[in-house]
Amino acid sequence: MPNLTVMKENLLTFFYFINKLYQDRSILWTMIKRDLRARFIGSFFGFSWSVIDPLTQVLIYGVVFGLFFKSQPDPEFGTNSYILYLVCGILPWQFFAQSVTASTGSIVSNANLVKKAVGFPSEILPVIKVMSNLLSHLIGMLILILIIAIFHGVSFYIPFIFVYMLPTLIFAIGVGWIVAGLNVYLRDVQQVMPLVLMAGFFFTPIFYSPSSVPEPILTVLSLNPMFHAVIGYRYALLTGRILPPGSLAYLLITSFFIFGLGGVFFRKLKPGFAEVL
Amino acid sequence: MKAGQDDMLGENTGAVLDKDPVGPAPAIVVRNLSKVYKIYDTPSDRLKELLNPFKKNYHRDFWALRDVNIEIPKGITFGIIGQNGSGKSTLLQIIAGVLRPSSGHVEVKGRISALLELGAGFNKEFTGRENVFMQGAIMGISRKEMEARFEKIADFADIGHFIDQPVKTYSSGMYVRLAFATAINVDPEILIVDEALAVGDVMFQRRCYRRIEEFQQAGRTIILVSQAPGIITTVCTRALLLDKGKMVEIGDSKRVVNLYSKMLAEREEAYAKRLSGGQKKEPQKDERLQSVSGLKAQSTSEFRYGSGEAEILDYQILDEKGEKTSVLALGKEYTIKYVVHFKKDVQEPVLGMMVKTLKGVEVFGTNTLYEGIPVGPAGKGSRLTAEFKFLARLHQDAYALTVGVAEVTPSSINALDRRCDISVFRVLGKRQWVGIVDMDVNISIKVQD
Repeated sequence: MPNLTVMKENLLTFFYFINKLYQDRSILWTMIKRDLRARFIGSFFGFSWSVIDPLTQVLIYGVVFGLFFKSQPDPEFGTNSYILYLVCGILPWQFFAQSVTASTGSIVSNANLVKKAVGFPSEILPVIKVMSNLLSHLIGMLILILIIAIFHGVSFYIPFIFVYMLPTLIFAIGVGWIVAGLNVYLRDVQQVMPLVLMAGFFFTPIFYSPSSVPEPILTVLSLNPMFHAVIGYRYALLTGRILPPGSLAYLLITSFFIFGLGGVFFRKLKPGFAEVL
Repeated sequence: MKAGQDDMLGENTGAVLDKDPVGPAPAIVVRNLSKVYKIYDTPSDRLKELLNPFKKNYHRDFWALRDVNIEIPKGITFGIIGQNGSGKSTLLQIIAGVLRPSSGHVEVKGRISALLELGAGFNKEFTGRENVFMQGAIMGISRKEMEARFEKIADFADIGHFIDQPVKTYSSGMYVRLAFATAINVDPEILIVDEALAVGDVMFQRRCYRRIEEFQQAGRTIILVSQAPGIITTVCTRALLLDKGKMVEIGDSKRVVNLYSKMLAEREEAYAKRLSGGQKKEPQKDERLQSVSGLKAQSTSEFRYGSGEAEILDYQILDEKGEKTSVLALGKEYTIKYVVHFKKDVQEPVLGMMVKTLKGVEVFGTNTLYEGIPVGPAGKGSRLTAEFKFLARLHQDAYALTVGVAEVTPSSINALDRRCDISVFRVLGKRQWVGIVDMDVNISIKVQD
């Protein structure tokens, strides 16, 4: 059973990898703080950018699809406000997309550290980007929950967003490792990622309802873990329901799988970084 | 490649594997280490090779390191010397674990702190303070521990309020100051310093070498790369000479540095010849390293090089009565005398001498050009006798004598025969004083009313 040994080996590699990540938590923390400061301090609006950014998108899509196309949310999401429906999908997607975008160039732009700081754990670089985006996401979510509480009313199911936030985070880190590692060897990745993420945005039910997608295509779209995460967020925020078990299981399994795959993949690419950079 | 490696081992095992049979356990062992880079003419060639189903080669191999074997015992200071592009930095990067070797392997026992090229891996956007803490974290030192050390690091780097400015605003000198201060204060067992210190000012260099001495006394291992032969001889006990990725010599640092100086002089000479168009086709210039135009060293300590177009035949140190001696009395007059035999017409010969301590520190050297002594053209077959009269105002110690003859051409000075460390003489004296040179100081004390 050669496949079993290979799997075991990869699992072990991954275990050491994660353990190392835990050991490096103090560098991780220092660099997350620094990254947040670099992003927000020194810019005039500071932290409010984490609100202005999604707000602008919501306004644009709200006007185009809500006003021009007269889109209506599926009643199963418990609201007839298209804006509310939109914002509950845009926030988790933004978190994922911005994390991945920031991760892509994270190794290349820190070439100095990767090449010269002996023992520097380069795997933390994409993680830093994802973590610092997590903070923006949390701020955005807090404001969104306040708005929902005022205009819609909250249910006890709100804490369930964390059940969907965790796989989104894990999935973003996994994808972050893959694209950051690949980008060192193939700088084209940096050009391709915005296109991939744009496709991802349109093929995830963010400004439309899954029910408006014809059946065979829907099955294909639901292969994307973010498909389930976005629906999960909406259920928790607007309806007081939870994802069907099959959907939730798929989200958890795929995101953890991509996380593991990303870790092993990054581990394999890492020794060559100093040479290519 | 495999076969090549075996050949090397078969021939050179004795000379190349520089083992210390009774020494302590090695801190670093490098075995059969090679590093090859694939060179592509255009970036699209890289892609073509990647995608070619028949695995056609689109690259050329560039060997940055070829079959390097080193064993560095714990607690010694090891120097690596070589010209630009000789593979020094690549070797250090592989030892430090930043680069992967193409073949062979490296064993390192102990925590490494490294200053690779210009300063360690600092994050340019971070302040000096933040970088210090980050380096500490990379080395596995807790924040609390680093806080205790920070004062010492900041004090050593001595860059004032810049410590709280982003590193990108630093001058290269400040960068290195902070990098060195951090690297040496994170308690490494092995310290790697790559040419970095040359950037700092003289005072800071002095401070660094004092710290390196403390480090040596604490029994830590240091690997130092430098272009400056003086630094290698004074700081390191053993050294490695690399040339085009291959080991040329490994062993006692003075011997290795002497060989390096010789190699440089010969390349310079070959370059001068190419410039003057004399011998444009000279493909075998490297072979001359091994056999220097029939010039043969007389003693094991001697290093001899030059074109061989003139030869220093007879050299001696004479006392006041004209008798040959190798023991000099402090303050007395002596003469260094040697005969030069010219094998071609030399328009403008230069005759010189140099005295060094056994550690390689240059005490005094001069030549007829510096002193403005006319020598005049020397014909083929002619002989000249040179006499350098001097007072032995040196501390009671042993010194090495170097003599040489060179030719001045419009573009350069070419060594004809340079004989380094041909003989050792000793200076004896009863007076007590410290230092190398007796400056003939007169002390007068007066009581003030």
